[in-house]
Amino acid sequence: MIEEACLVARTGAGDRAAFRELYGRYSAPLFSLAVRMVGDAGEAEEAVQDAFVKIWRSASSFDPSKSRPFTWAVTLTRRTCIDRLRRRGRRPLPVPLPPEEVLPSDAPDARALTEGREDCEQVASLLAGVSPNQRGALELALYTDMTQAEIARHLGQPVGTVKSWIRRGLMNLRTAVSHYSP
Amino acid sequence: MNPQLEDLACLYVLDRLDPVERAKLEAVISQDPALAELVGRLEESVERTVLGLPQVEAPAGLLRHIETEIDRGAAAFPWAGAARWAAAALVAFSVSLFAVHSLRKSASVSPGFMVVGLDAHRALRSELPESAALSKDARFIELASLAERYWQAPDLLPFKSAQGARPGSGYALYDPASSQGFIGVRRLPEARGAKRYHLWIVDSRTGEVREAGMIPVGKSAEGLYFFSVPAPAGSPASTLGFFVTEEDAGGAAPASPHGRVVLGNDTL
Repeated sequence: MIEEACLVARTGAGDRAAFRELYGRYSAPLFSLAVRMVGDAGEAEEAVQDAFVKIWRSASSFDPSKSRPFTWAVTLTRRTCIDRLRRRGRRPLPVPLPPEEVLPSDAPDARALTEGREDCEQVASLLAGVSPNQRGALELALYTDMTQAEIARHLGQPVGTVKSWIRRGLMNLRTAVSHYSP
Repeated sequence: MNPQLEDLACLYVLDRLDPVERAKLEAVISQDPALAELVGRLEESVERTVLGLPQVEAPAGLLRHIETEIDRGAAAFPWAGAARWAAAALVAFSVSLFAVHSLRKSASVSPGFMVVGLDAHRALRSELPESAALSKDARFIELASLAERYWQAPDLLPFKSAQGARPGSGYALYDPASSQGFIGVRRLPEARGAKRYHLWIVDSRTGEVREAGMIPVGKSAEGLYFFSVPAPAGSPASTLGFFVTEEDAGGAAPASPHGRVVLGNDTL
């Protein structure tokens, strides 16, 4: 992370080589995030282009004491995707949650949401403590601009329940991550 | 931990707080190591979730389009470069603070940097001892950390600032290997009218100079700034120096100094 903070600092100082290295590290995950949010590769490409221009322009104000570099880049990309979709009168795509995944309980489930992912095993392990309900609510909070009340309506659950799913989902993920990164 | 703080931390990492709420929570985080630790873990969780998405490579040529857009923006806002330089100093400062905490064990290493004292009428140069080879990033962290230490405690500088008839003093810390450096200035008067301060690197043996950037000194009259400039070709580190001049504002960056020298000198 220190290395990435240095790359952002150099980018902020106008170092194009550092910016290219940052692009090399972040372009695939940020493009994947944009595809997930806007649902269209062409639009995702435009969003990622906007996001990296923002990264270039705002790198000088990045504060490593407040955020991790990749989290900062993810936040810029999410905001860019949401802004672009709103300008077009669209909303970010809700997570395509099959009805059978909305379970009546919070029973843990580490099913194959990780199929096709490079780090399948690790993600599966991380998600082991996160129920489908928690995961669904968390993904809606992460990949759309829906408020917690809107997420609750979308899932047909009380707002308090959705708030709890989001918080517990994140906290469970945190516990799992801490096992990988002690 | 307070469940309300946990809730706020979750909303914070999901970018669901408005700017005021965000700023308030950041103030709390800065005072609460346990909360900072929680936020860091939660951020890592969000990162893992994003990295767990089916990974799709960005289209070929996207970087070129991005750089074209960046260059177009730079042409439209020529002053952006100076603003970037100023703000970059803050970034480097933050990174250095961050690095001091993270690499405290190696903070005493001084990997072959040079430091030039800049008074209103003279320049003094000192070379810091070479140490074991460090990576590019580690060198930058060392450089930033040392610049910050000198800024916080000027008494650590290897020379004493002299009080002259004119105000202003400072130091330039430079890494010839990476062509990066920091300049700290104090009590430098605000530039007059349509004038701006420019930093120059000079080979005192040949007199060859290169512009290292504009110092965005405002009414605060002091600051620590990052710069990046290659030394004149073939110049040994032992002949390099720095000085600051007052130049006309506007237009392109000057190729050579024309204005009066306000800090340091082009000889050592």
